[in-house]
Amino acid sequence: MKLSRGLIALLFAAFFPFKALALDKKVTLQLQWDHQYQFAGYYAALWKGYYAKQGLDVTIRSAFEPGGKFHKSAKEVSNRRADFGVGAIDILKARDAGSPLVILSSVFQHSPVAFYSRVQTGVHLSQICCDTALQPGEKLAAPILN
Amino acid sequence: MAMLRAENINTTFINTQPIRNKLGLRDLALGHADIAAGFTISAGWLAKELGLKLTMLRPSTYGVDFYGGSIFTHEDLIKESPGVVDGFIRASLQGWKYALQNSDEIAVRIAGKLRRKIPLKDAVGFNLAQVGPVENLIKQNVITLGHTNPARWSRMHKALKDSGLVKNSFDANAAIYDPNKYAQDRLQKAFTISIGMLLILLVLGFGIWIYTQRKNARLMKEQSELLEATFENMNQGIAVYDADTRLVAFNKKMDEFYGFPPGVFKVGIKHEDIIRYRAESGYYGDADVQEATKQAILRSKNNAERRIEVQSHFGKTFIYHRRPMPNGGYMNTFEDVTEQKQTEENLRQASKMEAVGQLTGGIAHDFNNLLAVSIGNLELADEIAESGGDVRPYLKTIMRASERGASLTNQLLAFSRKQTLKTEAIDAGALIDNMQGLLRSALGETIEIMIANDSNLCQCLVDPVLFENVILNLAINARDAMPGGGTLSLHTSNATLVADDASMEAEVTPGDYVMVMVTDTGKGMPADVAEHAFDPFFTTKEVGEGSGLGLSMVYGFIKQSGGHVVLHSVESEGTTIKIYLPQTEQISLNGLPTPEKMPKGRGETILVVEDDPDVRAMTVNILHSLGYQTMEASDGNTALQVFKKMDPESLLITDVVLSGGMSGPEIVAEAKKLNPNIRVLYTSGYSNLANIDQKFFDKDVEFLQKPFPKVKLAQKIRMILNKPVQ
Repeated sequence: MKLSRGLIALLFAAFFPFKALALDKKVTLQLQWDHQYQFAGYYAALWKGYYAKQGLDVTIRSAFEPGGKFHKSAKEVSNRRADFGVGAIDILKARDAGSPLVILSSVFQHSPVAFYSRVQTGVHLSQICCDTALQPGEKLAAPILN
Repeated sequence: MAMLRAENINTTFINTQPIRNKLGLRDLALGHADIAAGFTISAGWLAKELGLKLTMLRPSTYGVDFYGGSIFTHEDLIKESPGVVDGFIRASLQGWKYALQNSDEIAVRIAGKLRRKIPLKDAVGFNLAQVGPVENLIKQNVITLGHTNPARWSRMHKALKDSGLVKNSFDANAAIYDPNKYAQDRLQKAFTISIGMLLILLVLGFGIWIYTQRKNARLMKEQSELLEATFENMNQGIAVYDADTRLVAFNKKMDEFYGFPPGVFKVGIKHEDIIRYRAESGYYGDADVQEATKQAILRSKNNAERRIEVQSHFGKTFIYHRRPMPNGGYMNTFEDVTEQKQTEENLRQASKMEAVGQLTGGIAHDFNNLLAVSIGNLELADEIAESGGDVRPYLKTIMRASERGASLTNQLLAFSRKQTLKTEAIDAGALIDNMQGLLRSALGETIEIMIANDSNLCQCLVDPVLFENVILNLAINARDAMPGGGTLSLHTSNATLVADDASMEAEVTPGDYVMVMVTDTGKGMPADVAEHAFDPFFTTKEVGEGSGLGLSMVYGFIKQSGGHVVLHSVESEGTTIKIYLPQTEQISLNGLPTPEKMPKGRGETILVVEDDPDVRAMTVNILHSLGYQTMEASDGNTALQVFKKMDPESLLITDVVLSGGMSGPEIVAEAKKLNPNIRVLYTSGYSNLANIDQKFFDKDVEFLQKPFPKVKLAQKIRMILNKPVQ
């Protein structure tokens, strides 16, 4: 009897391995920036229990650590200190550097990056783009995020 | 820069500067730069905060449309836990859907619940301001939430490569998650695992099957060994046959019980072959072997349950028990009860001797009384004879006393008889009447005996000696139940029993019976004692007073005689035992008068052979007084000499046991050679003729037990002489 009971348990484990492994998995999502509406979907999934329903216990981590350190999501996921990350071209750069990151879903269809100038500068932004606005030697000061 | 380059803008003229503050837009405010990169998500709010009016250029407007915030993970996690990845994507998109529909709720909640590194003055306003820009970036109403176009990511990569930010080539298939691809992988993996598991299962199952088989085989072997050991160690012989009467199982005891050499009993042999073998080995003795075998085989085919006592041809007694089995076969068991039977016989004898012992005291007392009467009267007669007076009254008293003595010894002799006599038709009432003297001696003076016999009592079939035994036993029990005295009633009557007579405890055979009721006025028995009264060895008497066999013997004997016994007892009132004995069809002889006249002789000659001179003289005197001529002989040879000279019609009276060589029957045998029609009367002090050379007795032998009264002798002689000569 003992033998057959053990056998049934073994069979059960053998036929349902994925289910068994997926139970109550702890995962971390690394954000690009500090907590704000930009990441609203992830909070909603957490608070509405969508993650829990998938068997996930998700920690959403801000890019700013209380100690002052800044976490870059691509780096965190590359080193496997986080399981998931939110990112964009930094994913491509990390891949280029050899990290096997995989894009799962493109939530933001467009990059939020844009160029801004003060209206009173008189430099019309379109001039830069139209190949005529700036003369050689004239310098535009532009902080570029790379 | 990549965006600019994508638009073929020469970027060399642009003097790039690093961000000094947290956000590039602050540089615009401080005049450090003319153009600053910013995020559409928060630029509006910041500009308002800094009091700036800004114009915006979005690179996407010019063809390089980069994807924004996308979910990504490490390739290894997909390999390790594809389910986790799928679940995370699904839940995240579901979360986004909810957040976009309930933006205010989520925005307010983020502001209230989540702490930023640098707290905001108006966190709610800050987050609410992001709602519109985020919706614009997601474009949910145009594009499926989370839609990922590999070509666009390739273009993004190309743009980055053009600006030197990345160097290597880009494989969209590897970089972008394809759930189907992983699903396929997983399916394949699951299939492989399943096959593996199936193989393991098969191996395991086979292992278990082998294990169970071996275990079962072992158990079976153990069971069969146990069964065999049990079979062989039983005291009973067992043979099991199947529906086809073939032997299936047996033990060695069967060989022993049948007296067969080993090997005759073997599995598969037919029952009838065993019967034939037994017949050949001499089982049926001198009987018609063929017929007996035929009958035995016929009986063996009758599959009814039965239990029979059988005598084997080598002197053993067996209980044979046949039990049918559900499969149509049957089981025969033989139990050797030889010793048991012997023990039972011994016990019966011991019990009888015990009763004799109990009687002795009373009988000795009775005999002393008889002797006292005889001696006293003889002395008186002697005195009176001297004076010439009439001695006959004294002699009559002595006669009566002597007769009582004779009847007492008769009964004692009958009681000590060893062999079982045959059942005969008797008058139970007369028998009880005749026992009165014996009962009186046994019961003592404090107990009154009342006998009431039905004058029309039918005869019953019973062994008279054992029946007397029964009555005596019951009387002694009654005596013991009445230590202070009382009344013992013996009552006989005819009775008819019906099948389900309520007054009878056990099943009865319906029919006509003679009922003998024995009632005492003793202490009676409680119900639990009464229930066991007939059990062997059950006794309420003190150790040494009784064996407890009396009532069980009564029960056994009555049952054997085809009768029934009922016991009814009330505590402190008394016990009644009713014995029912089957009636015979013979007419009751009770009412017929016994001829009491003294038949006289007519001068016939009688030869008296008797070794005791006193007895011989007495017999001769009586014969003379009856009117017969007599001749005398003290031994066989003399007798035969005398016999030669005698009339062939004359009578020979001889004692059975004689000193001096020939016994009575031997003399008769010799005499018959001289005269085949010789008339003979045997006399003996022994009651048991069967103990003396049975073979010498003819079928219708005449016999008179000593001592005999004159009238009995006279009647017997007359009866013999009146018989026509064959």
